[in-house]
Amino acid sequence: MRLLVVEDEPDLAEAIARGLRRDGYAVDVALNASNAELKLRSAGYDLVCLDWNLPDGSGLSLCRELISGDLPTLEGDRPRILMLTARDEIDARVEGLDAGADDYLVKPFAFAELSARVRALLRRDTGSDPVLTVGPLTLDQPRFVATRDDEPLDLTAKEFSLLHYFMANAGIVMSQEHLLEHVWDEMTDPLTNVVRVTVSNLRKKLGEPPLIKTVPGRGYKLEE
Amino acid sequence: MPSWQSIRFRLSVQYSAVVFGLGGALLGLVFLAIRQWLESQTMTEQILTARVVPLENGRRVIMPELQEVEIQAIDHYVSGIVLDQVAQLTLFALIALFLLSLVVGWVMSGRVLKPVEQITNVARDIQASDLSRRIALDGPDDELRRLADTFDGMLERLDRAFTSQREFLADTSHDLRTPLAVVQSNVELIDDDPAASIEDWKNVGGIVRRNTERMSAMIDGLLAAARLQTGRAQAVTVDLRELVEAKVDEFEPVAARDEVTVEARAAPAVVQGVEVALYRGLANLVDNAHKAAPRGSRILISSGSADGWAWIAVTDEGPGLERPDPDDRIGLGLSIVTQIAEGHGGSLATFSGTGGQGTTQVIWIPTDETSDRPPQQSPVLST
Repeated sequence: MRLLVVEDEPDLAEAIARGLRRDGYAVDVALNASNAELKLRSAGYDLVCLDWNLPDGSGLSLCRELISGDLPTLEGDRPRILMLTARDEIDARVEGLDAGADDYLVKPFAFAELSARVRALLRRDTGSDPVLTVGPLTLDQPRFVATRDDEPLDLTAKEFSLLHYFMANAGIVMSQEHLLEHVWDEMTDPLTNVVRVTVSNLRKKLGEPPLIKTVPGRGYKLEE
Repeated sequence: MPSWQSIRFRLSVQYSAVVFGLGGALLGLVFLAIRQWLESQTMTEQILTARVVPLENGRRVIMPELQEVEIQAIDHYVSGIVLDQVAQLTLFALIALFLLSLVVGWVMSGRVLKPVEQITNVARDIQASDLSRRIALDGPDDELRRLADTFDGMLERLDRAFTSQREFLADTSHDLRTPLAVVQSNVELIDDDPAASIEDWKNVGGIVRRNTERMSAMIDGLLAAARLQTGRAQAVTVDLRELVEAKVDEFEPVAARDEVTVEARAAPAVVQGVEVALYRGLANLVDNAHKAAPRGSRILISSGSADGWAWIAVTDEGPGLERPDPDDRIGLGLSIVTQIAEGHGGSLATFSGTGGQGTTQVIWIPTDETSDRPPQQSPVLST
């Protein structure tokens, strides 16, 4: 899962990004509205943490533009929006949620809560069970545990994130570019073969019979 | 409130008492006048009477006789009847007048007092949290209408004051929460990270120090604004030029780190004010300019006075602050600046440069009592 943190306080943005990366997400940071807009247009984010007050605009208008489609994202899918702001008045919360934000968290916050809210937002598509199950595979994201036939798998953080993304999109064929967009952050060189290498490592660790299929010319998919 | 205590009841009773008294007096006078007149009509009259006189021859002759008699007795009798009649009529009229005046008094005072009732109802319904209601009394421009309009004017001012207080509270709590969030997240994360190195801890230490400094500067500003508002700060003669020069000296090395040059254009501007508060206001404006200033740009800090107004202005070459969304105002410490400017009887104004480039923020402070509205033009000439 790839996240964008839009926050004008560099110290806060960096802390949030670091914490979310530790949770296994690919995280990019935008310190102002124009940069956020640029990144949203050019990458496929699954979730955006959006500050309301930005030096060159308002996070709320970004939120509205994302909802209305005035701000097209790379793949056309709208990311989940978590408003992260110091505005705690009821009116502001209502305005934020009514503008289309999926959730609203008031600063200062405990990181554990942010992390839980991000997880909750990201599993909206896959059901409310915090433990993902696909065939013989289970993945418990909060506890960072993945199993096959109840046998724990020994995965690196990146492999875990990749497996998470495969399981959240089980049965769907995804290209290398798509995986790169959603599991790796902007620091990754788009010309590397990092996706291929990580997929093949993950496939090996998942064991036999192979669960991740290669669809020639189109990409990979996880068998349901 | 029992109805006999109401103004309406008292008004109608007073009204009918007056009408009754005046009517009664009038009728009494009429009565007395009639009696007087009747009494003065006592007179003697000659009347012709006839008497039968027997003659000696046994015949009788009728002898006419002109006689002068007093008819007082008859007169008394007649006027007695008339006066009785008049008295009875007078009494009836008085009773009717009394009842009628009560009814008329009740109805009229009700009509006069209706707007008062309306004012009372609205005033009762207004809560401190919602001052948006108005009495909006219609009808002729009379005393009660003016009372209601005065009330509305007062509500308007209260509403504005409450709203600005609420916004101020929201803005300042927002401004305090942000550095708090920075500190909390950073400390929490490093604390949860067993692999954190000394370097990482030092980094977080720096972040904590920067943000506590920020918070304490903010609290200084809050205190300055609060003291100003409660009138507990002593106004002294302050030359804004000195504040500008001091700020420039303080800010120059900080700006230099971001390759921002600072230019001072300080002309004398003497006001009566609270130095700490004014300096805090200036510092907030400079902070904003610093945040907005691109690398290699210039920040101009200036002061001056003209037309009964003194000013401090900070001009940056950033992307321009003037945006339609009033929500963008917050998070910039501007609400504190506004409070400080208003606490000095002045205001904060924002001017955008040509093409939305660059922003000039001006604190206007009146220098004489007659200053009404600050100039609408930016005092800083663009160069």
